[in-house]
Amino acid sequence: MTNSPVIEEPSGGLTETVKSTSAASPSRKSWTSAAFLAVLVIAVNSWTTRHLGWGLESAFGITSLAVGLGLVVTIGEKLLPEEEIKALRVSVAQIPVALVIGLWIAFACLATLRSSVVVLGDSNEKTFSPEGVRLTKIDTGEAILATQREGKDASLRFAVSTSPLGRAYRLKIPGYIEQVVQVYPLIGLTVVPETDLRVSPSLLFRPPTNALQELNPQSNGKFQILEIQKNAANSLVVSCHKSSYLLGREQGIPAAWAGLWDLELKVSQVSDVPTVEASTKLAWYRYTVLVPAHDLAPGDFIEARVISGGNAVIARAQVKLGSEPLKDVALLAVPSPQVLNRSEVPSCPAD
Amino acid sequence: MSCRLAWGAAAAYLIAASAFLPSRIAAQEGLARPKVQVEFRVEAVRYVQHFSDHKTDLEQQAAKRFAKSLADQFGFLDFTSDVRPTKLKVILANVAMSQTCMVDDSNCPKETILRLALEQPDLPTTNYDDWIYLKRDDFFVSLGGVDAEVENLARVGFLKLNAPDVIAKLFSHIQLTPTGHLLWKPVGGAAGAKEQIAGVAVPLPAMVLCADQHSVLVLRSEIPQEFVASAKTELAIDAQGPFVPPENSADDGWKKERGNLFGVPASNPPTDRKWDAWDSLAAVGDKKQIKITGIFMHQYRRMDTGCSPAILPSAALGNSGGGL
Repeated sequence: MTNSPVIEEPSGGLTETVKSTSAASPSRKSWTSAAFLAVLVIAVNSWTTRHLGWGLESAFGITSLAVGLGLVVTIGEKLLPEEEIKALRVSVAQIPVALVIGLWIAFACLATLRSSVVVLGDSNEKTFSPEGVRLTKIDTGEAILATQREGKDASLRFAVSTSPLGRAYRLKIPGYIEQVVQVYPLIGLTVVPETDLRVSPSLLFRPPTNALQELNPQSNGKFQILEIQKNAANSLVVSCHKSSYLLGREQGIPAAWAGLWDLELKVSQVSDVPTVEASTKLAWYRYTVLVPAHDLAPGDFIEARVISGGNAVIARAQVKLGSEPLKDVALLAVPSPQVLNRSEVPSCPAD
Repeated sequence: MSCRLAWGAAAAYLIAASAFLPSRIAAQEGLARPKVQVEFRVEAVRYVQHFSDHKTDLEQQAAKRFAKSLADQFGFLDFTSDVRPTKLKVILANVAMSQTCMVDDSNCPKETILRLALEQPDLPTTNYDDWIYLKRDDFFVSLGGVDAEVENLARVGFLKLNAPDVIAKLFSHIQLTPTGHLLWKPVGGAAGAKEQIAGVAVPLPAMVLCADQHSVLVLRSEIPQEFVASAKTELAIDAQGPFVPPENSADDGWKKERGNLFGVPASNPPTDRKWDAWDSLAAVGDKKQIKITGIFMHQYRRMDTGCSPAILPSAALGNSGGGL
């Protein structure tokens, strides 16, 4: 009888291996959930920052938060008893993946159906009044109220509903033509009026020399602008200065126009009288700005006329607005003056 | 009692006098200056445009103002804004400078004139277009209210009026009187000798016509011819002032002309028109056959002493030997 050596299974060998394998699976799960959760936090933060205007606005911010949390955990491991640390690990590992996926789905739904429109102001120059900015639904015409006004440039934020393929809205900003905009989910819409919108058309009305003379204070003439809608004329504005009139947004007169004005004065032979020619040109250059009650838009039909002290229309022009930002409109002298009823003659506004 | 009698006598005198009044007025009418109605019309395009609603006011006020100013300038005519057969239209108008600058174009500078149009019954209208109110450079002048512009029209307009030219070309067509009295005197003063013209008495008091020396009148007459129709002549008369008949005048007709405007054949008549020679009149044997068809003013000088606006009954009837 020989005693062969007994090879003993090292204690805890297989069992330990199996145990360690079954222990690694929940740990991996917990890290997966944690990773999804972390990405969700980042995504939600980005979305709220973009569409609601609050959140950690930069990657640096969210990194700082993560580092801070790591530091808290490290310190906690050193300071807390072993049992409490284990319990904490168990609670994190117990967050089910399904819950994380559910949160993701909820966020995806929200992000798909809600979006925002941001209208950026101009910090250097007040190009529009925030009060006049209007965003309306195309189908119902319902106005959307601005949820936020922020920054020194008074940018406006509108929280709007949308769809995966986007939704159309009407945007009207004072001084600019109303425009239809598409608002898509996630990216939303940021509008810079100066670059993204077309300015409302303006009109430069130039009365002829004889009509300018009627606008001298002692001659008691009046300049009137009417808006024609369905054969009815509504008075928009009246003024009594000896000048040309810029209706709408103030802007520079193109230099090339001066050459055309010279030709006009030559054709009418006004340039034969140098003092009158000079006086006419000055009056045309030094326009009076008239602000209409509402912005002009392409398609509007506008009439301008000069009424003499004797209540007759002596010069007139009618124009249909196009898309050009500034249009030069020369009033023409009326050969047979049309005498108006006293009730039709406006009074000069007090300066 | 005596007081009552005095009142009664005065009343009877007034009643009697009133019965004669129409005939007196009729007599004065014949001795009055020709009446001319002044009508003002606005046709100048800028004025039409400026005044539109107030154009009638402007025309009415300007007519009155121009009647007064014309009466001041041309005392031999009686200008009024009331309706009369003889009408002087003063038309504020523009003159077209070219095809590209028509009168109705209010934005093209052009001259603004005061056009005069004289309308008389049975006679063609006579126009005068040389009264320039505003030059081309002043076309775009600022216009004010009615009163201000009437004042401007009268003040600026009459400063620019060439009065002698207007009389010669326009008012010389208005007959001052249809008759005149040729005064003849014997050559050398001997009775029965050949007669020569002494002058012409215009049957209107010089004070009423307000014409002083250096005024020149036109005597239009017809001289009978032997085999043909009467020869029409237009002779120049130098006005001399009120007629004062000589004390020893044999002709009673001369005395009746006392105070009337007297003129003599012009020795050096104006050269702006053609005149007939006085010799043709002197050559007529029977002076009574000479028919005077009218006297007109050609050159006018207003009396320095001022004019009588209307003929007084005493001047018209008393001095000329007439009376009630």
